[in-house]
Amino acid sequence: MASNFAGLDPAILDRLSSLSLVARKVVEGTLAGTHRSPHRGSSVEFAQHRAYAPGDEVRRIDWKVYARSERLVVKEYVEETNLACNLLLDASESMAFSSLNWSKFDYARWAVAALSHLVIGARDTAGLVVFDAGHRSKVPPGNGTAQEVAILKTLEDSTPGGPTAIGEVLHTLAPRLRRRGITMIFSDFFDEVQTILEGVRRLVHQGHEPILVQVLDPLEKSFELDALLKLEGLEGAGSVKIDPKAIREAYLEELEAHNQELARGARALSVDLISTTTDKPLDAVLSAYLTRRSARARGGGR
Amino acid sequence: MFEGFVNPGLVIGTSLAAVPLLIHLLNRQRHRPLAWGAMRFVMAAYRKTRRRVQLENLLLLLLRMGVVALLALCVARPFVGSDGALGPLTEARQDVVLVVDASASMGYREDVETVFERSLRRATAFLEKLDGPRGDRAQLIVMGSTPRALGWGDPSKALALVPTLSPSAERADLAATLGKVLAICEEDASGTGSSHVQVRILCDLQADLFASLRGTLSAEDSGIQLGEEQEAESPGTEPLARQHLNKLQELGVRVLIEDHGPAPTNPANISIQSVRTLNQPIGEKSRVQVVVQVANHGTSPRPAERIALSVNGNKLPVAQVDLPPQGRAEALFSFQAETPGAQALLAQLEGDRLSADDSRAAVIVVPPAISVLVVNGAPSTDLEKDEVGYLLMALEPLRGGDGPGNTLSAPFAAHEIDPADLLASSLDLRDYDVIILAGVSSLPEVAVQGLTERVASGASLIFAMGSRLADLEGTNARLFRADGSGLLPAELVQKRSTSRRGRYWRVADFEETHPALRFFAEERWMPLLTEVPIYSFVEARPLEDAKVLASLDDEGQSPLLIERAFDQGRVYLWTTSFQREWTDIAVSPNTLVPLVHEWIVHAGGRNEGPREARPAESLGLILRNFPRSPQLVRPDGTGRPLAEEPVQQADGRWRLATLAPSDTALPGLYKVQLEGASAEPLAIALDPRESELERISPAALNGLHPALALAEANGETTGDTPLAPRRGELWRWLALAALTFLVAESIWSARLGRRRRITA
Repeated sequence: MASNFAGLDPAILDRLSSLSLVARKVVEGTLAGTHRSPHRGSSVEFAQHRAYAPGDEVRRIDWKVYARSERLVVKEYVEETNLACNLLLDASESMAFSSLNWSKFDYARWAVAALSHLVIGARDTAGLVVFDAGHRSKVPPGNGTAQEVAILKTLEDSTPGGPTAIGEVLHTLAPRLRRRGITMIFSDFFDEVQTILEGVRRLVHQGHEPILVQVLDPLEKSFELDALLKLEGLEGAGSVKIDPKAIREAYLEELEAHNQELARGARALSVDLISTTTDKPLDAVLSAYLTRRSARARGGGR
Repeated sequence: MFEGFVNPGLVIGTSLAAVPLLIHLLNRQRHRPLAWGAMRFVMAAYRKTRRRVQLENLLLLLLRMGVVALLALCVARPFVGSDGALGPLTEARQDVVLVVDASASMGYREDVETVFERSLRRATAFLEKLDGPRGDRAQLIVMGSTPRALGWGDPSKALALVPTLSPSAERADLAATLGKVLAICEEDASGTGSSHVQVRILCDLQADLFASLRGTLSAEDSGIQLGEEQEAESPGTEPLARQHLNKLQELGVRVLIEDHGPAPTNPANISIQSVRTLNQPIGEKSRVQVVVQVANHGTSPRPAERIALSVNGNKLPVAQVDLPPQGRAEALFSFQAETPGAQALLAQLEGDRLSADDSRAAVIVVPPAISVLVVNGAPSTDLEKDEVGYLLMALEPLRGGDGPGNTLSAPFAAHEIDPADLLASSLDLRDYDVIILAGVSSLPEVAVQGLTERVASGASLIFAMGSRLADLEGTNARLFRADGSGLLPAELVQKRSTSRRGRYWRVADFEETHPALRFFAEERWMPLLTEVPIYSFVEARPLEDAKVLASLDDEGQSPLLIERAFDQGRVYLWTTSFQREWTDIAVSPNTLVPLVHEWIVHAGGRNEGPREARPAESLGLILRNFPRSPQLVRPDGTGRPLAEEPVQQADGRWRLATLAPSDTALPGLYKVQLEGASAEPLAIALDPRESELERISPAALNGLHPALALAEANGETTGDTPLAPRRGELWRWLALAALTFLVAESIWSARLGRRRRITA
């Protein structure tokens, strides 16, 4: 999918001063590509006319009817907007890792900010949950500028720290997310895979459409380390002196096995899993949302 | 595991094997801390790979430490015995020192080959058995008067040198040779305290070779001339050869003696032992009597052995002698030296199995007539009153017609002058060897100066008293100095006289060994000197360093004849006169003639310098006249120019450059040819001890020293004496192991690197 890479390049986003700028830039960049919003705040299938009420968008007025009857009416479609998008952001300490100038958390936060801007701009509702071993902060689903501001502020106030327990968090959150919709989970998913999948399964059972966005640091993924290191685990995972070259092969095997298991589990649940690294443009993330959004609007749903 | 190390000090290098370990431990301190998010995967990978990584790193570390340790051991060169566990791996390298006796006795010919040729054959066979590529080393030492070591290294080099060896005419010096062997063994031992060098001496078992090993060194033996490299031996100490053997024994080295000599214990051999003169000829046409001594070293008599003597190339009639077993005989020859100078003599026998001692060269120097200047202090036509009349008669005996006894040579050329003639410009004192001042009352200062210079340059001056010598004080003032700088050897005190009818004085005591007076030492001639009346003499007080050769029987035992060295020359004081009035010696020809002759010959004699030497000894030559373009010609006709500048001595003679040992290796007559002058002969003669071929018995040899053992000609030792154990070194195997470790480390390190390489 083509994208305006310049607008989605994380290195450029890193230089922006606020999340709102990031969000706008990302969205513009994404939509400047092939993604045109398939909806302008409304469903695409005509359902009926209703009388014009002040505040309705002028462009929704059916002028043909007015010409015929001199009545101001607006068109209504099968589904009105108000698609819910729950954005879950992992703020555990492991998300603080960075080999670049920005961490996994920064990257995920940009993606969340951009998505909230996109969703709210499309008159859908967006909500935010920031979590680690439990949920830390929450912005209930809503729409409008104020909602976006609230989401962005919560994002800006959040810092990574604390242990990880993704599966338990999802399990707990699933029944609490009232508005069913697309639930995007931004995390590195460094936890027991089965526990994570249990949580995702709970979300699915609750009628949500989870999209797992795994954010990794490129160094975590490549393990291209030369010198002798004393690796000190974030989240209090202990420390060990290693020769990275000596264990690299085994490390990559372990990581690959974990990701494979996660992907298998996600496939089994028909859940999208996007794996990205912090050095890649953000369009993949937004594209995933937009694709899922389009499918749902056509009634494809899940 | 190892018996020892050739370089024990380098064993400490094995401690460097700890360096890779230290580097490994230091590296463990250098882990850079890094916060990591995906720790679960790191821990899982770490647990999975820890043991394998540890083993891999341990193997790498051990390989690196092994390389260092093996290299250090390799350099330290450990060795083991051939019967040790590692014995089969050892190289058993051999280091051999082969000594070939090249002395004159080795030229003894038995059947078709000489003893020396037989030894060379054996040396070749021995060296061919050594293995250079294996590391065997060999050194050849040629044993002569000065042993020559010919390189230390590959046996093939020594083998190539063997055919170039030739026997010499020298006498073998066992002590010097053992000294060279000891130096080699000490270097081989290198502080380990033992050496495994095999030493073999190929010789003819001549008893004289081992003479220096017997007993304690006597004062006589210590006077033997030694070569430059030899240490001086003091009387009463152990002989040097024995000292060297003691040290070799301490190093565990045995010297094997291989006998390649002739079969008989006392091989038959006759030799010319010496050629010498019986008299002391002086001047032209002087008669020279030569004795040639011949020895029979064998056990059978040798009757009618013919001896030939040639003088300056002219053969004299052959003489015959009968030689008893183990005995000597002398043949007398006589010839007339037509002109003074060096006479080249060559005595020869009919050849036998050892030809080197069948001829002997000698040079006899017949000095020219001694030139005597007689200064007559009281000339007179009356012989009885003349101060020097009788003296001159003694100096120049009458010459008669033909017939035996009448053709006398003139050993002296006497020239009489007045004291005033001392100042004559035509007089050159350098023409005279002896100057006699007989009764000279006064001398001008210029004359005294001239006399002083002449005596200082080597002439002799005789002061004789006389009637006109009245002013003793004046004479003392001019000629005597208490510090010895004056010409007179004694201070003149007073004249003493007695009447002829009264008591007279006689010679009471004299130096019987002094050349001037030894004629009278013989009992039958002694009264000629001691009974002759002396009526007048001058009392004299000699200087401290003056020697009184004869003294009178007065109460003070006044000196009659005093001698003193004065720079290069000598000064004599005859406290009486040659005048009849003073003593009856003047009119006693039986006293005066021998006295004057012996005295003047001694006073006028010159050190002509040696004209004879042993083979390979240095020899200098002193000549009266400047040598132009001197060329040395050896007995075999080869030669070389003597380019070095001759040096003039204080006495006016010239000294040629000393001939090097390499110039005088051959025995025989040498010549120094001079442009515009007769050739000057030199003689190089064998040491007569080399002719004594008696061989030492095996029992006697084995009993000489524990470090000596007799080997059979095939190389094995006799009896139960085993060969020296061979020391085996392992350094090549260690080097190979180090190389293997290094290759293994490289391969393993590369493999680990490839496996752990970060691929894009």
